[in-house]
Amino acid sequence: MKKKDIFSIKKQIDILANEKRVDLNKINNELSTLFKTIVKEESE
Amino acid sequence: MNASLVLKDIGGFKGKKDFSFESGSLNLVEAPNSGGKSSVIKAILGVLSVPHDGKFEPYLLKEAKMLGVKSDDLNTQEGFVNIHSEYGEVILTIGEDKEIYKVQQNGTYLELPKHSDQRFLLSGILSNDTKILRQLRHTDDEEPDDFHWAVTKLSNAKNYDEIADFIINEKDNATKKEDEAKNTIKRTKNLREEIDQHRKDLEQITNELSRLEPKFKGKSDFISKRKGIANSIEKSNKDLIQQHANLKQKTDELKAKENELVKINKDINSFENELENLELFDLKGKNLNPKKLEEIKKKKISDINEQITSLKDIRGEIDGVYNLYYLAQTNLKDRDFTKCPLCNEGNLTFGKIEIKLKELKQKKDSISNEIMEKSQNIKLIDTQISDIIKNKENLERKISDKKEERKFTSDLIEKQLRSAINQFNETITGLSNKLEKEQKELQELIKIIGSDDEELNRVYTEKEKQKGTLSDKITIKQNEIDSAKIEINQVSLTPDLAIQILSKYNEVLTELIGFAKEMADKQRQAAADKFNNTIKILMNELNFEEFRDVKLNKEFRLYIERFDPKTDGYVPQLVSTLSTSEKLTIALILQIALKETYIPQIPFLILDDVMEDFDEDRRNKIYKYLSNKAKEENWIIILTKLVEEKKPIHVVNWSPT
Repeated sequence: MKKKDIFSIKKQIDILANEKRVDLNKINNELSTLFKTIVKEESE
Repeated sequence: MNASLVLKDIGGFKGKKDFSFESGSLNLVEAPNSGGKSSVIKAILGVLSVPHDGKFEPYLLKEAKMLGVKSDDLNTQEGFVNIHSEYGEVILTIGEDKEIYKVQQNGTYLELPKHSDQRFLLSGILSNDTKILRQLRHTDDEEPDDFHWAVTKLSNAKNYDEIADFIINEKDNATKKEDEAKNTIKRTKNLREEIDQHRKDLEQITNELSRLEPKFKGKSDFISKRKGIANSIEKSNKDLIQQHANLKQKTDELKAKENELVKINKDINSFENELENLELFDLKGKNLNPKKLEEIKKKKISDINEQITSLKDIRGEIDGVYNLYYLAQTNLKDRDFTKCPLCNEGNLTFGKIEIKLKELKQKKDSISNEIMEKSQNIKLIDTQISDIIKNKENLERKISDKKEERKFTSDLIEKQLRSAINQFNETITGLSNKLEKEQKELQELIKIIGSDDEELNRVYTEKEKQKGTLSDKITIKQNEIDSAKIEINQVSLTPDLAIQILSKYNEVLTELIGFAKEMADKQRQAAADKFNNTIKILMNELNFEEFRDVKLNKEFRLYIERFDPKTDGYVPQLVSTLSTSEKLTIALILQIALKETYIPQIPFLILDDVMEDFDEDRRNKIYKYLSNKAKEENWIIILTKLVEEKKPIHVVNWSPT
C-alpha cells in the first residue's frame, strides 16, 4: 500500500467531513477500493 | 435590510398574519398571555431550522420536538399548524431572499426552506426550553457543566466522529474475518493430522488383510460361494417382501375399482329411471321424441287458436252492445231520461245505462284476460317442449358417459389388475421356491466350511469394510481442506492469504481511524477556541463585573471565575451553585457565543420570554449591548415581551434611551 493511496483516502475523508451531512456510502466505497487494492498487491 | 414574516394558519393564528422586523435594532414582539408570541417564535424557528430534506439529525430532532417545531408521539399535530386547518405556511422574506415552509397538520412537508440550518435550534434562540438553560438548570440529561456537545454536535467534529465510528466498525468486521481465517487454518491443520492418522490405520489394515489371505487357501472358494448364497438369500427375502407389498397394493386397487363399478351401475339405473319417468302431453320416456312433440304442439296450438277466435267473436258482440250503450250514455249527458229508441216505450235512465256499461266492460275485460292467458299457453308449450328435450338429452348423455366409464373400469379390472395380481402370485411362488433351495444349499456349505473359517471370514470382511470407510474419510477431509475459503467483500481467499491481506487492511484502517479521530479533536479544539474567544469579547462588552474567565476548559467543561467579596478576588465557581439570575446571564453569554461561532450567516437571534427574569440593571445592560450588536452586525434580534393590556400581538422597535 503506497503512502500516496492512504493520503488520497484521508483527503476524501476531509472532503466528506466538510459536507453538511456525511455520505457513509462514499466512505464505504473508499474502503472497498482500498481492500481490493491490497488484495491485488498481496496476490501478485 | 428588513424582514417580513407571513404566517398562514400557524399555531393560534387562523388565516393570514403579517409581521415586519427591522434589522439593526431590537424587535419586541408584544402580546398578552395566549396572544400568539409562541406561534411567531415557532414559525421563525421552523423556517430557519427545518432542513432542506426534512431530516433532522437525531440530536437536533430532540431539540425540534422540545421547541414545538416537530411533532412527537404525544403531540401528533406537529405543534405547529392551526388545529382547524389542513396545513400551515410560513414565508420569511429578507431583502430579496424568500424562504417558504409549508407543512400539513399531520407533519407531512409540502414545501421546505432551502437555506435553513438545523443548528439554529441550538445556537439561535434562548428560551426556557432551549438546551443551554435546561442544562444549566440541570433539567437536561447532560451534567450542567458538560459542553462537549457544543464543540462536537455543532462542528465538523461530529462528521469526523461519524466517519471514525464507521471505520472502527469496518475494522471490527475485518478482525472477525481474520479470526475466522485463523480458525479455518487451525481446523485444516487438525484435518491434515486426522488424514495422516487415517493413512497410518489404512496401511495397518492393508497389512492385516495380506496376512489373513493365505489362511483362506483351500476353502476360500467355499467361503466365497457361501457369501454369494447368503447375499442371494438376503436379496430374495427383500424381493419377496416387495412382491407381497405389490400384491397387497394391487388387491386394494382391485377392491376400490370393484366398488367404483357398483356405484357406476347404480348411477346408470338411477338416470335410466329418471329418463323413463319424464312425461309431457301423454308421452313418456323414450317416446318423447321431437317429431311427435312437434305434431302434438301443432294440434294444441290449433285448438287454442280456435278457442281464442271464438272468444274474440264473443268479445266483438259484447263490444257492439257496449258501443250502443256508450252512445246512449253520451246522448243522455244533459237529460235525466228519454224513451227507448228501439221500442219507443219505457224510460232510459242515465244510472241504469251506467250500470249496464260497467257489466259489459267487466265481461269484455274477463274475455280479454282469457285470450291473453290462451296466448301465453301457446308460448308455454314451446318452453315445456324445449325443457323436456333438454332434460332428456342431458340424461341420455349422462347415461352414455357412465356406460363408457363402466367399460373403462371393467377393462381395467379384467385386463390390468387381475392379470397383475396373477403375475405377482406366480412371482411369489417362484421366489419362495428359490429361497427354499438356497437355504438348503447354505446349510450344506456351512457344514463343509466349519465354524473357525467362518470366524476368519467375518474378521476379513470386517477389515475390508474398515478399509473402505477410512478411504472415504480421507477423501471427505481432503475435500474440506481444498475448499476452505474466506469470503470478504465478495472476494474468495485462501485462509493464509486472507490473514496476510486482512493484517495489512487493518493496519491501514487503524491509521485512518487515528486520522479521523485526530481531525475530530482538532475541530473540537478549534470550535472551543473560537467559542472561548467570543465569550471573552462578550464579557468585556457586557461588563458583568462579578464574572471573569467564563470558558470551556480542556475537557470542554464550563469553567467560571466569580468575584468573591470576602477575599476581594476571583474564585472558581461551580455551575450548579450559580443563582437563577446568574444562570440566565451565563446562558445568554453562551447562547450569543454559540450563534457567533456556528451560524454567523443567519442574521437572527431570538430571546423568548427570558428578559423579564433579569434584574433591571442587568436587563438594561443587555438591552444596550444587544442594540449595539444589532447595529454593528445588522442582526435582527427578536425578543418577546408579555404585556398586560389586551392589545393584539404587534412588533415594536426598541432603542435604549
